[in-house]
Amino acid sequence: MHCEVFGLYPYPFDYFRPNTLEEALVLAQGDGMKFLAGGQSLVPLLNLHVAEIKGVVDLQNVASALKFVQSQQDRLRLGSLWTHDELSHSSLLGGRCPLFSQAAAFIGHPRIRRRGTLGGSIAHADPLAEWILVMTLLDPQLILASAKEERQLPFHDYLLGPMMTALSDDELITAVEISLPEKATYGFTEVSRRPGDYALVATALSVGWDRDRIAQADIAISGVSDVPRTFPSISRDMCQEYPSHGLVEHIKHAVEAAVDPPSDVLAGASYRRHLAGILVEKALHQAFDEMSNAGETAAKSIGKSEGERT
Amino acid sequence: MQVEFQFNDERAICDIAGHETLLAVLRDKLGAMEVKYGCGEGACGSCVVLVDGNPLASCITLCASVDGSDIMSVKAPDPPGAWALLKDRFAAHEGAQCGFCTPGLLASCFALVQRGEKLTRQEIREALSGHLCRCTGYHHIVDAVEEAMAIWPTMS
Amino acid sequence: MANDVLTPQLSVIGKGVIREDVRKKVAGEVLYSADWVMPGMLYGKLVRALYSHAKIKKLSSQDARHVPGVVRIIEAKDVPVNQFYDDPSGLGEKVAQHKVFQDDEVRYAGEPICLVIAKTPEAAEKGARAIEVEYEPLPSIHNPLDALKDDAILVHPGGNTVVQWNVHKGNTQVAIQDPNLVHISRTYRTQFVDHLYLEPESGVGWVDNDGIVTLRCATQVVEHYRNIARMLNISENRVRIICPYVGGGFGGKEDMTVEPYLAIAAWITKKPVKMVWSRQESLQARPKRHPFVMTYDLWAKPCGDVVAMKVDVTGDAGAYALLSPRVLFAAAVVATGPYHIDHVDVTSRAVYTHNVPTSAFRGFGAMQMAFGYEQIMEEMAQKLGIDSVGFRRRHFIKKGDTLATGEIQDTAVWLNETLDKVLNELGEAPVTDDGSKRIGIGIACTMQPYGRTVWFQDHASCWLNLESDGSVILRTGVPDIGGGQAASLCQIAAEILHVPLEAVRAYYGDSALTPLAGGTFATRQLYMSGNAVVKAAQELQEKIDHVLKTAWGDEGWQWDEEGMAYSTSGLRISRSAVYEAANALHYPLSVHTTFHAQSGEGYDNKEGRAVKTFPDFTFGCHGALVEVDVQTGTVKVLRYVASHDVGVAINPLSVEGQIHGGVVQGLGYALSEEVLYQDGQCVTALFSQYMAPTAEQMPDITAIILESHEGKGPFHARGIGEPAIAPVAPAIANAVANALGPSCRVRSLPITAEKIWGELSGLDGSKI
Ligand SMILES: Cc1cc2nc3c(=O)[nH]c(=O)nc-3n(C[C@H](O)[C@H](O)[C@H](O)COP(=O)(O)OP(=O)(O)OC[C@H]3O[C@@H](n4cnc5c(N)ncnc54)[C@H](O)[C@@H]3O)c2cc1C
Ligand code: FES
Ligand code: FES
Repeated sequence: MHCEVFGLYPYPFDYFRPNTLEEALVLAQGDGMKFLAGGQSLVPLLNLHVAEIKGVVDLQNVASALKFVQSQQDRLRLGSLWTHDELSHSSLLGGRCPLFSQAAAFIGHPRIRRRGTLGGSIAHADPLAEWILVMTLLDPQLILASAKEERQLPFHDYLLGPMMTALSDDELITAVEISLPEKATYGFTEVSRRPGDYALVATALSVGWDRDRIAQADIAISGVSDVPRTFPSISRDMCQEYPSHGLVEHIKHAVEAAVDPPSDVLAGASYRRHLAGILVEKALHQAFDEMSNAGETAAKSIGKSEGERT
Repeated sequence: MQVEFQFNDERAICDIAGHETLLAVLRDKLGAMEVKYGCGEGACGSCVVLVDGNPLASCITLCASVDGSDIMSVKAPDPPGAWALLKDRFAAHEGAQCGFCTPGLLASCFALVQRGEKLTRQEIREALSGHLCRCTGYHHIVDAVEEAMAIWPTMS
Repeated sequence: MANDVLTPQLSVIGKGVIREDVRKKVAGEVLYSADWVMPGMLYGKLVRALYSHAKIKKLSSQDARHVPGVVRIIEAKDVPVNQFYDDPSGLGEKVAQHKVFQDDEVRYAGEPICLVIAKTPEAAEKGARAIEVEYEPLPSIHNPLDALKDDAILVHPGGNTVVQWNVHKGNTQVAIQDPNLVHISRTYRTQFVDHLYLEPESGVGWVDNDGIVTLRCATQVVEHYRNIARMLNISENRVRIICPYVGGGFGGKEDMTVEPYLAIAAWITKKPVKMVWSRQESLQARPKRHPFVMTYDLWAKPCGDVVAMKVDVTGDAGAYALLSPRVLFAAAVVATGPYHIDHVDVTSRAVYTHNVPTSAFRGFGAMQMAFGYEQIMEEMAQKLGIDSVGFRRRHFIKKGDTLATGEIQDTAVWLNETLDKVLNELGEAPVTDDGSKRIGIGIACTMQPYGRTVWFQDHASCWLNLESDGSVILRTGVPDIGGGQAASLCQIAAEILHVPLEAVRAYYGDSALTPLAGGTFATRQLYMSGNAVVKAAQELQEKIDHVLKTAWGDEGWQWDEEGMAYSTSGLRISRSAVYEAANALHYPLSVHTTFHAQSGEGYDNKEGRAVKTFPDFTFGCHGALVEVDVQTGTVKVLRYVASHDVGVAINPLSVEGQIHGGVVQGLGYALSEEVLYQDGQCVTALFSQYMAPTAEQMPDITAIILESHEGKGPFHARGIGEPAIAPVAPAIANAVANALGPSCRVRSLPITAEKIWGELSGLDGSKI
């Protein structure tokens, strides 16, 4: 048997920095090629020799082409190369879907946030990553491009397991396209072992409103199963309801009953279950409070087309 | 391949391979031993340098990707005086003990101080959360940064 | 006596002077061990065992040899003496044997098997990957309590108990017969933690012009050159260890790390060889802090008088003894804490398992015990329904008291003083109107030895010269691991020699050129080398005075701030003039001297008694104010106050820095840090998986330094390096328990959110 050797530096590979997207996609067709976005997940793996590759295709010269926000009535298309830090400023999305800025604040520390990207995180597919949870909740269409074709894949067909995706080696995530209810508020809560670390358990939820009544809701939780999961039937229970203490209690208990978390060295099943309940409760309060406070302002900005931003 | 960048105000032209990290090139090719290896994961902050003014973990930055950039370490020439101010305050408050975390930490502090940030102690702590120091308990570091921020830019 | 010096008006001592090494460090100008480069340098990478217990059937290095750039594979058979013997208890038990390279039976995952030498680090790593080891996995044992059972798998043929220490005082058996006594029994547990110094183990080794095997590496002990000589089977005068500034040690660079591998590689290849352990390798395979299982039994009268205490401690030594015997000895000595108790029985043992070895770590066994005694005292007070602060005060040991071991505490014990300061500074716990939060306040009072046990006959030497320009050179073999070890010595020399601090230069940490001072561990360096420098400086000053008098007459010489001698008659003599005069008199102004610590006999382990164990102790009290989120169990430290009697603060800024650093390392230990293993395999081998505190969640720390002027170090200083960490975990545990309310207490470290939640919800946190 070979021994495990944790390295200091990566094994040799080649480096390419294409100037156009087309070039990037052609390069990616080569054997053992990897895209390099922020490098905040890929390079550590290469340093540790967990991954061995033939070459990287650095996306920095095409980044501007992949940093855009296209806002339409019920949809939002976000370029994949936005950094966590950029996404943490709610102004980027013109006030739409503040979930992005809420979630981004939980990722790593300032240095990581300035460098790491949305697309990189989605491609890396760490089941405890904040974006993977957000994507699970919003279930966007991923826009995937290769030299051969461009295709759209719903996120739920994309994520196959922890760090496993339906992305082919030569495919680039260029954007995510989210459909947004007309009027929605969000909650994002997490508990990690230390601020800035990957979550033990995290919750993201969205509540769509019909005036002050819940029209639609979605809940996603990470850390209670191998990849983040949603709770369609529990979410359905919220429809047509008015926010109330009783409703929060009901949802909290339903979530606690529904999850079947693993026990591992980081936390036991009961604690994870408990956290799922507490975090859902807190996240619901966030979403409800946002509705009662800034709900009107949020609603106003919906429908205002932001056009392209870079 | 050849890369060219400014390092501490000098032009550096290096023959490198694609896989070489900025940390490896700075240390092994340019002899910049003030840039430290502490983890290789981007987690400890010992290897942080400024790339176009932004603190980056050089251990998880490929050197090829900084072609054309302006890179600074704690040994950079210091016309505006922010480095000198920080170094002086760090020494005065004993913001370093073993000193291994210090060059990386100072790079992040430099970025904060130079852009004129005036942060509370807790904000300073959050801004430096990507740097681990095992010796000082952070208190003296925060003292030093707080004071440097208060003095800057009156000093320049 | 060296430490009788107390210059009435101190000019350098007690001043928060700026350390010269810190100036160099902030400028990025210090070359640490990994920063050294030599022509034609090769690189080494260790191949480490995959299993925690296995027979090595075969080692094939064929493939590795063919990796481009690989120069040589070094295995067990290449080492002249592939075995280290040590006498860790100092009492003649040769128990701590371990191999440089394991070639037979692997006893922990990560044990070194062979070394690949190559022209680049990458090639060395590739080569290491290509080494094939055929193992026969064997059943392994990971719980030290299981390892004590009769039918347990043996880690070493002699049995799984490495050492067992006993302390007996009075007659517990008889004393506890009184049926009116209140008795409680509690078990406290601590975890594996890593030193996580920022500088990984590293160094360069070469054979110099004269054939001397030279190692420039990060170590706390330059005297390891002796072990290297034994390994290479060469004379001790053929090995040299140079120790540049170390990027943190905390005990983790006290045992050898890279030293034997650099030495054997340089010896065999005759080329300079560099080795830097990757962080992950270090986390996986380097010795950790001992996890302890401590069972405390305490008997007290209903009125609040403690009658007897029984303590049973089991420390997990891992696969090899290393310094375990000493660690468990320190644990036994302070098991009762700073409390006077008439009847005491302590048993402490180190036990072999197939876990990673454990060894020295700041606090060295004594700090784990604080988590026991400071909680059992609190719990007893609670049980008796009395104030725990008063309960402690009533039992504090005092100067002149007999400790549990039978030795007399012969210096000041400022427990009340430090406690008063802390309580005063902490104030009352504020009330919170947030129903999901609870506030708690907790304190801990502790004692921590400084200096080595007296039977080690500890000594430290230094060599002090006045130079022709009036500057001073201080040579001492002290490794400077970041605590300002060299800087404090300069301060001491400057004080006694009446020269400005800048006039003293220290050369340190070189086993060939600087007089041996012993390692920087056991909080001994200020005590030992500080006293050596006091002694040398006094002798040198006497010589200087003699020259002055001989050359210029007995004029009632005094010294001004610039270091000039002036006389009542108006003469002003520079130190270079003194040097010239001394030369003419054939009277060298050079002193080489050795300080010998208070020494004593070995420990009577049968009777459990000693005349003296450690030279002295440092006492202190810490207090914490915490906020517990009752929904998630997370803890926030709102305020932290730490007070120690340091005898005299040589450099108050550095003392404060030691306290801050100790507290934050202690907070990590208390709340988040743990090296986790599954079946002996480390599952927290990434830096980002190991939860050491960052600045973000740490509070400001109020350090209150008291000076009793009664330490045994220079100018009556006491050591503070280790003492600052001991009270943290129990102070936090008590604060959390106070927040949670009666009958809730987390008795195992780290006090995670999950365990707290377990307590609050009535579940046993450890079995969720
Ligand atoms: C110390 C530390 C702490 C961290 N903490 C957190 C945390 O708390 N939460 C969290 O979510 N993350 C955390 N991260 C990870 C961080 O968020 C990364 O930035 C992110 O996971 C990857 O983004 P990247 O742009 O850096 O991708 P890279 O590292 O460049 O790439 C990652 C992978 O994605 C592929 N890839 C990148 N972009 C694309 C694309 N557009 N299309 C297809 N494939 C692509 C790459 O080929 C590679 O396989 C942490 C990282 C570090 C170093
Ligand atoms: S070495 Fe780069 S962050 Fe630790
Ligand atoms: S000073 Fe030693 S790690 Fe920061």
